[in-house]
Amino acid sequence: MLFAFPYALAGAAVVAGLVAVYTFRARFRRRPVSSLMLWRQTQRPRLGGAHRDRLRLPPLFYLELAALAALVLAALGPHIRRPDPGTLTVVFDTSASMSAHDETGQTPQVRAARALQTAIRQTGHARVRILLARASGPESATPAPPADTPARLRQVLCHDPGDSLSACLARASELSGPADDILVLTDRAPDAGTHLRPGVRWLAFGTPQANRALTLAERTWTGQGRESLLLEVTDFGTAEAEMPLRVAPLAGGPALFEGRLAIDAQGRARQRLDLPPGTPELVVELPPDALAIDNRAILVPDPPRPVAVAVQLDDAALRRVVERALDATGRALRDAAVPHLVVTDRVPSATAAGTPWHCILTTPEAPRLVRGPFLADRAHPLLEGVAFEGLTWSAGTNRLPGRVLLFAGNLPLLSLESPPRGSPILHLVSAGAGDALYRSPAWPALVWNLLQACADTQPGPSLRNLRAGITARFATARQASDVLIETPAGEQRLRMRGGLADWAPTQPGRYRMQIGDAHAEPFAVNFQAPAESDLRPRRQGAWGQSPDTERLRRTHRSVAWAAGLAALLLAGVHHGILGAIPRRGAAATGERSREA
Amino acid sequence: MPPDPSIRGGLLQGRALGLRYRLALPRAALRGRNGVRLGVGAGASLDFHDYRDYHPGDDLRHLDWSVYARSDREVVKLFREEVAPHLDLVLDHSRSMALDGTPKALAAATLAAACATAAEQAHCTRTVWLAGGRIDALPNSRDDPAAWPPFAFEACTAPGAALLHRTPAWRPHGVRVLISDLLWPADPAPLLSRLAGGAAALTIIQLLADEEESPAPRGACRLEDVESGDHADLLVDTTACAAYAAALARHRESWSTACRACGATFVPVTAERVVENGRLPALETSGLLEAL
Repeated sequence: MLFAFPYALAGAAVVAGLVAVYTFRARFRRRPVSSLMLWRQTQRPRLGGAHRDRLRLPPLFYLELAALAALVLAALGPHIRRPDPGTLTVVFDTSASMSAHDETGQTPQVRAARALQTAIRQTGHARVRILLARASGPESATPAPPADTPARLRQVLCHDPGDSLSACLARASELSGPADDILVLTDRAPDAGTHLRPGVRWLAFGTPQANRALTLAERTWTGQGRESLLLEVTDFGTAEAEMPLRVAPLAGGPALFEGRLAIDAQGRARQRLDLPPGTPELVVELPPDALAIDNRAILVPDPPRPVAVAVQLDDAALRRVVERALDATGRALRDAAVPHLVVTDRVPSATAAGTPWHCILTTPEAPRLVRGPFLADRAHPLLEGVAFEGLTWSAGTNRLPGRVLLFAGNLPLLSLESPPRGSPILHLVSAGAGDALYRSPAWPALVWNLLQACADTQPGPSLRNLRAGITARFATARQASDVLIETPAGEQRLRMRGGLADWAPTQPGRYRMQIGDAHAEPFAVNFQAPAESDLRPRRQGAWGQSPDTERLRRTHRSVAWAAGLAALLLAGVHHGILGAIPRRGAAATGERSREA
Repeated sequence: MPPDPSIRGGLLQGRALGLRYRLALPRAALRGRNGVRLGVGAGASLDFHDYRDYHPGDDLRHLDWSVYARSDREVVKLFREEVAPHLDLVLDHSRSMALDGTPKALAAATLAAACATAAEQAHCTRTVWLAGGRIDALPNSRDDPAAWPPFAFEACTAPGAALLHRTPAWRPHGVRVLISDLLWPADPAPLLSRLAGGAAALTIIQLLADEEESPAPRGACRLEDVESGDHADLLVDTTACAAYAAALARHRESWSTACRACGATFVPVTAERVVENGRLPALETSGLLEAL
C-alpha cells in the first residue's frame, strides 16, 4: 500500500490531541455535590501506599479515536496496486540513426532495448504491444511475451530514412486505455510544442556525434551508351578538409575512382564521373564512421526504356507533326513491329490484353475555335507540366469516351479511356496539323508524358536506382497478381493490381525483380537521407515524466473512500450514541417515577 | 447570601398546593391548646369521655344526678377535650439544600409551605424551624407562607449535630416534620429518638435531586462539598455511579429502619418530582397530608 499524501501523517497529531483532551478533561472538572459522604464510599481504599490507576476512558473515546484514525487514514490517500497493470505500448523508432554506433560501440537501439527491459521489470505490465515507427507509417510488430520484447527490439532492422513517431504516438494513444502506459524509444527529443499526455514517457538514447554520408548518388544516361555519375558527400560535423571516396564495380575489379574530395564551406563535396559504355553495376563507398548505412551506395545501369511507337495517320501533315514530337523525346522507336503505343485517327476494332496504348486524334464535330477557359485535371500525370493558357483550340460537340482530362468550357478536348482488359486509349480532339496546339509548348510536353506513361507500364521498376523510402512504380504483366522480388533480406512477393504496384523499399542494397521465368530486372536502393545522417541533433534524455500523483493514480487504486466511509459511519454511530444517552436517562427517570 | 428567588416561588407554589390538603393528625397522644380537634384527655367538649368520683371543687354542673339517685354515689361526668394540635416543621437550610443545577431549593420551599398551609387547613398551630448549625424559629412562621420573611439555604453545617444536641423546646404531643437531604454521616437513631421524643407523630422527608439519586457517569471529576468545601478527585464512571447508588440505598435504609424503630415515617422525595399533576403524591402516599 502507498500513500498519496504522506505529509498527512501529521494529522495523526489530532489523535494525540484527542487523547490529551480526554486525559486532561478528566482532571479537576469541578462538580459541586451536597456531600462527599456517599461518594467517598465509592473510592477504593488506599492500602500499601500509592498505586497507579489504570486510565479508564469512556467507550465514546475509543469511538472518536477510531473515527479520527479513519479520517487521518483517508487524508493520507491510501492506494493499493491495481490488479491489472494495463498494457504497455512501445513506440519504437526504426530510423537509421537508431543504428549509429557511439564511442563505446553501442547503438541507441541496444540501449532502448535495455531500457525497455528495465521498464517492464519495474512496472510489471502483463501485456506489451510494439508499434514500429516506420518511415512509411506505424507498423505493428508481432506480439510477444513481455519478457521477450527487448530481444525482439534488438532484432528490428533500423534502416528507415525517417520516422513516423507522431503518427505512431497518435495510433498508440488510440489503442491505449486511460490506465495504459506508452513508452517512446527513440534517439531524438520530442518536437517543440509536443504535448505528451499523462502516461506517455519519451526516452531518447541518441548521442550527438559527427558523421559523413553519401547524400546524393545518381547514375544518368547521357546518350550513345554513355553515362555520368554524380556523387555528393556531406560532412556532418567531422570538420575535415578532405574526404576519401572510392567508386568500384560491385562485382569487384579495379576502382573507377579512388581519391579524396575537398569539402567546401557548406560541408559538401561533389564529384562527377563520366562512365564509359558498358560500365557494370558500381558501388560507392566512404570510410567507416558512426553510421554505416549512409557510407555505401549501389548504382546499377539505368538506360532509358524506349517506347515503340507506330504512327498510323492518313493526314501526312499531321503525321509529320506527330513524328517530329516523338523524335524530340529521344525515347521513341518508330515503325516497330510490336509497338507499345499507336498514334492513329481511327478507332481500334477491339481492345484485349496485350494490345498497345492508343492515342486517337479525333476530328471535332461542328468545330468552333475556343480560347478557353481550359479546365484540366492537374492531378493526372499525363497533364503534368502541360500549360494550355493562350491556346486556340478547335473543339467540337462530339463526346469523348473515358475520363475527360481537359475541357474548354463544356467541350471536351482530351480524355483517357481505360478498358477493363485492354490498354488505355487517349482521345485528343484535333482538327488537323494546323491546330495551334502543335505549335505550342504543350504539345511536346503532352507527348513526353504519354511516352513516360507507356514506359511506366513496361515490366520492371520505373527507376533502377531508388532512394530508400521513396515510392516507386513496379510494372509487370497486366494479368499477374504478384511478382517476386529478391531483397537484401530475402525474397518478397509484391502484390500487383492491374499489372502495377507502388512500393517504397527502405532497406538499402541490391534488388532483383523477377519478370517471367528467366528474366530479372535488377535495381538498387540507396540510403540518401541527410536528416538521418546528421547525428548532431541526437539527444539522450527522458520527457513526459508523469508527476508522482499521476503515476500513482495510474498504477494504484485509491481506497481513501473506504476510510472516509468508515469515518462517516463511526461519526454517525457516535452521534447516535450521544443522542440516545439523554433519551435513555429520561426513560429511566420516567420508569422510576412510574414505580414510585 | 441573597435569598434565592426560587424559594419565594416555591413558597407560593407550596401555599397553593397546601390549600388542597389537610395535615393528617394522629389520634393518640395528641395534645395542644384548646382548639377544635378532639384530644386524648378530658376537656370541655360535648363528647362524653368517662366518669370519676366527685372531688371538692369539681363543677357541680357535671355531677351525674342519675347515678347519684341510683347508687348514692357522687360521680362527675368527664367530656373529651378539644385541642388545637401543633406542627413543628424543621427545615434544613444548609447549603446542600440549594445545590446548584438542581431544584432542591424550590422543592424544599414548596414542601415547607405546603405542610404549613395543610396544617392551617387542619386548624393546627405551627412553628417553622430553620436547622443548620443551630435551630432557629422562622419569624412569622405562624402566618401565611406568603408572608414569611425571606430566608436562604446558607448554613455551612448539616443540621445533624444541632438536632441532636441543641434542640429547641418542641411543643409536646405535637406533629413534627423534618425536611432535609439527610446527607451527613451520623447514626440516625439517636437523632430520631430525640426528635420523636414527646411528639405525637414524626415524619422525615428526605429531599434529594434526581442527580443525587442516580448520578450519570461524567468521567473524572473533582467533587466539591458545597457545605464544607472539601473536595475529592474521583472518576465518576458507571462503576462509581453504581457504588454511589448502593451507598445511597444503604443510607436510606438506615434512616428508614431508624424511623420505623421510633415510630416515625420516612418519606424519600425527589426534587424534580415533588409536584406531579398539581398534587404532592409522595406526601399523600406517606399519609402526612390528606386531600380535601
